[in-house]
Amino acid sequence: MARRPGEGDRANRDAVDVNAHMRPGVPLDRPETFDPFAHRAPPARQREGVPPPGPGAVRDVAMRDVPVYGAAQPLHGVSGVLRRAAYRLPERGTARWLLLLAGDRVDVLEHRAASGLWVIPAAAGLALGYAAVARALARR
Amino acid sequence: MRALVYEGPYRVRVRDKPDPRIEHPADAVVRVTRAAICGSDLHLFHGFIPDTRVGTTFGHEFTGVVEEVGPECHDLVPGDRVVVPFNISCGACFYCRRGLYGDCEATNPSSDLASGVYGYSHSTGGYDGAQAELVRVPFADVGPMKIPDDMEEDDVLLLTDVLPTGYQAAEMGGVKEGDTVAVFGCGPVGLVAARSAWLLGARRVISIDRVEARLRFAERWAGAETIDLRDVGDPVPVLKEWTDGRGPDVCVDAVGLEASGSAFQTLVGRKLKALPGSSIALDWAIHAVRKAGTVSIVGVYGPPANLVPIGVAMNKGLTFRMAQANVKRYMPRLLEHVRAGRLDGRGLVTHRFPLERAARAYELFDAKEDGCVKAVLLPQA
Repeated sequence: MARRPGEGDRANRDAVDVNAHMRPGVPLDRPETFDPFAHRAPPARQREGVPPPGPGAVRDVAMRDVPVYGAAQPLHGVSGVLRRAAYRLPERGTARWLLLLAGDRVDVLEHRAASGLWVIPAAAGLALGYAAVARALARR
Repeated sequence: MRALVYEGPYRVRVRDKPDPRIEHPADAVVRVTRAAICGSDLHLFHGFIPDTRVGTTFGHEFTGVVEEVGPECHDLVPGDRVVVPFNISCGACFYCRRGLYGDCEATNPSSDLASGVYGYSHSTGGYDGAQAELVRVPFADVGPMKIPDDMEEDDVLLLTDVLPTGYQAAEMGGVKEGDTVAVFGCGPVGLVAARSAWLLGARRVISIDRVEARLRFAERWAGAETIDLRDVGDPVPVLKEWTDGRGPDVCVDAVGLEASGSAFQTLVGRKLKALPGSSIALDWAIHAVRKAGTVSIVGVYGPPANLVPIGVAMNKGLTFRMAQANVKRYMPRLLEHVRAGRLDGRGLVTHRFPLERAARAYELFDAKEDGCVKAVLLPQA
């Protein structure tokens, strides 16, 4: 059921960080310091033309001034409508997260539908080819 | 470039994608040389994390070579080898100045819940990840650490997440000399938490899991006693019995929202997704820890609602500590541990795959087949 490789109390000779001052995360709030290469003034805005990830209800005023964000996959379609609706709700509410998860599922369906659109021209081409061959055979 | 692309739950493919570019003057573009698959990537893979858009590239544990830098990037130059924290941090905001890089308020401004993370949905800023040939690195002078010339990328790769998160888990537990520490989960983070508990002075370390290979790994790599959930079902009575009836001083939840062990939570939370996953590992941690003990949580819990027995925790007067790791803060000390052989990150990596076989890597890692503890993708292979 269980294995106990140590027999009783084991001497711990590895305890090199037993003193709090050896622990990088103690105290939790360290004395304030800037990173050597951090921008002390607000850095330049991100390049124009990149859409933000979606306005949040929490800080949509602040984010207009924030220069860096991702937005690797811009909003689109019905999933985009659901996600925009979700962003208007507070983060503490379950409805926001359920809407976002619904948006995720719709996003997948949209993607699969779009990637399946090739079936229409392929089927049309196949039908035309079949008709052409049938017509040629009929002429013989 | 070639990149892993998310196409819906349980579907990832490697496809062509536009190269990332310098979007901001402080950005860099990095050519990825190693990109590990994290246990938390599986939560994305399974569709648990809200706002995971089709087309997203996962990957937040990576090393690489700087390819291009923006005009306001002064520390890095093309050709530098770097290891990059999973958090994206500005280095100058209220939180970064206090060393709380995982709480940076400049990199995911639309949210108060999570800061910027590479490849971890638009809930964490919508940044593409590094399971690709190239990745955009914002605030490139702040996060990345140059890899020392005498060290190889495999030695430092897990400084990006696994080593700091595991170490911080033990540290947040406030482990004191002589403590007994129980770690739920023998994934890479749980293994490092168990190993780190020794560094912090623990007298006993107990790891709990249900995967045979990982339990043996915990005994070998972390020197932990182990409890096999396939045999005991409920680990709480065993932990009580082993600790004079009181429970461990510190319990670490290194599992998160996809824990096995409760048929109800597995069915409703994980399979039907009618609840946001399963919190059974956290339940066990709360019930097992001794009164006035500490529960340290590094397992990922996504949406806000869950079944945590918070009333039990309140009545027991527990201290909860939890956080995303402040990776940059831990890197220097943990690098010393890596150099000294006290934390063997390289030893956790059991499988390596070329990027083109990423889908197979996810399948194998997800199924925990073939003794897989940690899988790493090699985009340049």
